[in-house]
Amino acid sequence: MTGCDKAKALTTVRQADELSAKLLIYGRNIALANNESFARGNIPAAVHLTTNKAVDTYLKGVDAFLAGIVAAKKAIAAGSNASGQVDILKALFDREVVAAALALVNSVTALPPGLAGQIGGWLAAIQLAISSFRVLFADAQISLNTEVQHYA
Amino acid sequence: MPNGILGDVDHVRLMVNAIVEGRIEAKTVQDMTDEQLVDYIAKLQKDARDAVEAGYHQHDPT
Repeated sequence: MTGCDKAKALTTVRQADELSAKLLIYGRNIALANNESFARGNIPAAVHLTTNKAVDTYLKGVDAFLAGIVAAKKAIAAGSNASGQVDILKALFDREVVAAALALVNSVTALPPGLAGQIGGWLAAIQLAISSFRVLFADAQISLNTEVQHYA
Repeated sequence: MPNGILGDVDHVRLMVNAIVEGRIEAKTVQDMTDEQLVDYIAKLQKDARDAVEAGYHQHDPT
């Protein structure tokens, strides 16, 4: 792996870290809004619990992805193929985060308008962040593959 | 219907507020060092986990 590849891969991982922070913030905000709404008696127990479980699954997905980022950082620093690490992260993201985020979106369809509005905003933000991840991975793959061709 | 229109406006306002609040908080990470970001993410993971656990606790406060 070239030094340039390594730098690009580490920049991608840093940006993935930054985007993951957003995913955590949005998930936490959904959980807090859901808890507050239930405490005020605005939503029934079943709706609150279903949403809470969906956030729980989503956050576990984000945690798994973050563990993947830590592993990718170590692998890149140790000289592993940069493009391969980005591919692994992309696959992990699709499997752990995207699927759980979609399940979360589907779980909040029965919320009352006020809470749905609040949570809907964060869900929209999660979807925007997912789009940003896709652009990040695509850019990295193009950039790293181009680099491989230059040095081939 | 007026109520319906007001309801829609309120819904959009809440959505916009949520996105803006989240983005303002998330923007702070761009200025962090790598080490600060790792610590911040660990804190966010704990905060988010605590919020979910608090949600479960509301159903089983024992």
